[in-house]
Amino acid sequence: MKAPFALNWWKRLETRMVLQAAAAALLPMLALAALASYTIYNRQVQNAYALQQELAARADVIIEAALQNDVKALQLQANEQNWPALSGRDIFWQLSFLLHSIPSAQEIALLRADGRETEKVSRLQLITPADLIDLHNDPAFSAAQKGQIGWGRAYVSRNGEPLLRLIVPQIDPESGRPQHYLAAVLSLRGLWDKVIAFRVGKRGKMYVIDNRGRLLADPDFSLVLAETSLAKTGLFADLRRGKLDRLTYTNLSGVKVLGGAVAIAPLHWWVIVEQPVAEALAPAQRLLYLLLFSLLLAIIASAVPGWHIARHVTRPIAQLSADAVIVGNGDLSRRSDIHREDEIGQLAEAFNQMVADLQAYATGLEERVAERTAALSVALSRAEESDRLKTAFLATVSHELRTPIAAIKGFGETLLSEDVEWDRVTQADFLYTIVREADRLSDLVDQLLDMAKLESGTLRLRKRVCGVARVLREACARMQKLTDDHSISLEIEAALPPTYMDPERVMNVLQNLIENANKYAPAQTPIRVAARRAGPDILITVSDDGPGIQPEVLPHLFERFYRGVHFDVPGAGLGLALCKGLVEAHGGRIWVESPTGAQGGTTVYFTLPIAAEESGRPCEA
Amino acid sequence: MSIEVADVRRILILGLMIAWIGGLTACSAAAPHPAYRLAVIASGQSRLPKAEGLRRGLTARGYREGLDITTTLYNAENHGERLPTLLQQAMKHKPDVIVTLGGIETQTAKRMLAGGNVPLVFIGVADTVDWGVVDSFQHPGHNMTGIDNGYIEVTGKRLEYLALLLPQARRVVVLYSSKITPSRAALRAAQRSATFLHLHCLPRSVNSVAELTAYAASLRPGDADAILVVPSFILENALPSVLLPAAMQARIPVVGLNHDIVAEGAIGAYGASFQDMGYQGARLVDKVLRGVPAGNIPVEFPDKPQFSVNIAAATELGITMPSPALRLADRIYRVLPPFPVKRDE
Repeated sequence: MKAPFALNWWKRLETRMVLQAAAAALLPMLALAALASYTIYNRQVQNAYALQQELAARADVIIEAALQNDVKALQLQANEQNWPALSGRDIFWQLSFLLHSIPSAQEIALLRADGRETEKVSRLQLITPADLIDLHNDPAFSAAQKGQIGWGRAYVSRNGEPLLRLIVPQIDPESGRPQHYLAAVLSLRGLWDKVIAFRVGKRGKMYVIDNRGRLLADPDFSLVLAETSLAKTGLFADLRRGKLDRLTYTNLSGVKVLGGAVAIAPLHWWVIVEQPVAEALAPAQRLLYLLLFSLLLAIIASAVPGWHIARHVTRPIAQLSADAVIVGNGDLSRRSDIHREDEIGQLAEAFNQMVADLQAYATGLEERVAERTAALSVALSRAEESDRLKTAFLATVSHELRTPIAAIKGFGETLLSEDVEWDRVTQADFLYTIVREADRLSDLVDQLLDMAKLESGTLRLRKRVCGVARVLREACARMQKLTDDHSISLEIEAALPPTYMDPERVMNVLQNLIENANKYAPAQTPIRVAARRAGPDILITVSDDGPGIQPEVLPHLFERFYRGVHFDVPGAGLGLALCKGLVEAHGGRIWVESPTGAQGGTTVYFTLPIAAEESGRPCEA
Repeated sequence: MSIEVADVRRILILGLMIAWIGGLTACSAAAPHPAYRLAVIASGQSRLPKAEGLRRGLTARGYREGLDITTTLYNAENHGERLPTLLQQAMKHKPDVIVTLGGIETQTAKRMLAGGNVPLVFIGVADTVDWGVVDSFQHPGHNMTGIDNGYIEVTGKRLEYLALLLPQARRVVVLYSSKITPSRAALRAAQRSATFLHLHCLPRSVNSVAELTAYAASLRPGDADAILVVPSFILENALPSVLLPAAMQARIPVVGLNHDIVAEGAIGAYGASFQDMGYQGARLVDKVLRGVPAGNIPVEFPDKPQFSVNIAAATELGITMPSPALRLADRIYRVLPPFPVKRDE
């Protein structure tokens, strides 16, 4: 048996189980992660927008409140004083007091109706007449002339100070028209610092643009100094359309941002809060990473027990597979050492039982093969012996056939010889010999034919119910005539029941047995024939006082053509085989007893079954 | 040594737990920024109010000393020659920002940091453009920015306040240091303004404490109607102990740069205090720490120069200050410290 076929890693049960375990954890968590990510993302975006809007609103409140305070202070002072009635020194003091009371004011001037500054005080410099300017072209003055608060354009001074001019009219109660104006230059730096101090994350910022899109305040003041304009940006277009919240745009740095804005109403400015999308959504992103990380860990965490379980299952299977290979290679003593109380344990136990059964079967098979081999060996020996016997038989038959033929031929040719005149007695003797040898030849041929019929099953017995006594007496008589060396006695038990037999064939048997005794027993020794009842049979014995038969010869006595060690004794080796066949054809048995040693003698036994009384067959006395 | 399966399992579980905790930490919180390192360079004790103002300003902006920021003060103790060594020491600690508390510190630092990438924020330096400290107020360049004390720019205004406090004054000694550029610039500004105020300027240069001491010793009543002090680091350190007692003795009122000198006995001053400038400087330090290039941040002037008066000193001198002028005062001192006052010695 060859080893199991190799498996690619993806086809391994272990891999599949691990993947299935991981997938089992992955799918629900993926769904959860997707849902959570969507929810968190939306919430984060809403929060970012809400925060930006709130910060922008707070900045707007701060800016508007600060500017309104300054406006109120200026309006109060403008309308409280009777400026035309004041001397230049008094105006100086009043303006100085006003400057002192407005921290953000850098300069405060009194304007005539035509927009010319008549008096001015500054926080930084001594004002000389050369410092007085004409503001009639200033847009703020135009607004102030209409009785409104004149908001000028924000600008940056030479020393980098962000400034805003503000002009407040003094309304004549009688005419309702402006008479004088108070102009203030306000520093926006403190205001801007408050505004841009709002930290929107680490990269977010708050900034202010005016109604022309010009940057007024930014954490990077260099952008303000560079007079950066957002007028051509999508953001500015959105602001002009009134869209102030949920802004998404790309800022000046090229970064995509989320933004919110609030309009500073009196100035038509916008305070804008923006934060890079990446930063605004960073918490959501971190949470997403956390989810993904958890997902990864969950996969690993599920794959590890999956792997463990797979190993728990596949390792004994692999071990069993290896054991099966070993068993397949012939080691039937191999047993699995897996001892578990589960299905795998059952499988291992079944495997062990199967191998044990296989081993037992193989062992029995070997024994049977050995037996069969031994039997074949015996058969072969027998075949070889038979072949040897046949060869010997052929030699014997040839010899036995040639001998009488040669005798017949010799005596016949002698009688026919014309050179010699044979007397009558000699001729008779020669003829007698020829006849005798012819009979002998005939007997031999008969025996061969009978033997052949017995073996082929074509011998037909003419059995009938009759007594054995007459057959015994006739056989003994016939044989006594043929020998002078032995006396043949007959002993028959009285009242022997009849048997069912072919008398001629039984006669042949008796003659063969008596002839053998005659051949092998020393001369002048008796040959005893007896018959008696033995159970359901008639037992017939033929015994002599010969030298006996050697034990190793006994088993072969009834074999065809077996001649034992007496090759000098004439015969074809068919007599006892024929006897055995005939007796057995009558349903009897035949055996030989021949004690060796001083006792000697040989007795041949054979049985004939007693005829059934009700058979009704004719019985001869 | 063989590793058992159980050991592998334990190691695996432990690894997973560590990875889990590490991942949670990494995903849930960004690593905090380490504390910023701030090196503060001072030429002497008189600068320290700026350092105190800087500390308060940074605290107000949320910087916690030791946690968000670590400030190290390098004080030359009135030995200007030590400044290069102190700056070298400061640079070894790789500061994120160097803060200088005066003109001489700033000029020294500018020379030593030239070409480097450490930003510089100066606090309370006079005449920074004309003196060559920065290229311009709007674009200072040189990876530096700061607070120009505006003492030169407000010289005319300071002289105006002198005239408001002392309406009868005509002859005003302008005490300056001829070897110090801003000081000369201040003198010129005072002279220009004096014309419009109908004052006669009497320039007096002192370039050392010894000269100041000699001048103080020579003061006699009637030498001048007032003394106006303009920016000079020589004068800043020695005025309280040397000039003010002598001027008081000669009954000549002194108008100085800021309220610090008023507290010491001058009758008035106009300019931002050192603490206020330090406080304002914290705003610029904050911008720099937030990543704005220092050279792009415009130089700032004091948010609000303060007008300070000392009624006790005026009373001591027999002067009655006009009430409108007092109304404009941001700070009024009503006590006079005992003379002589020992400082920075």
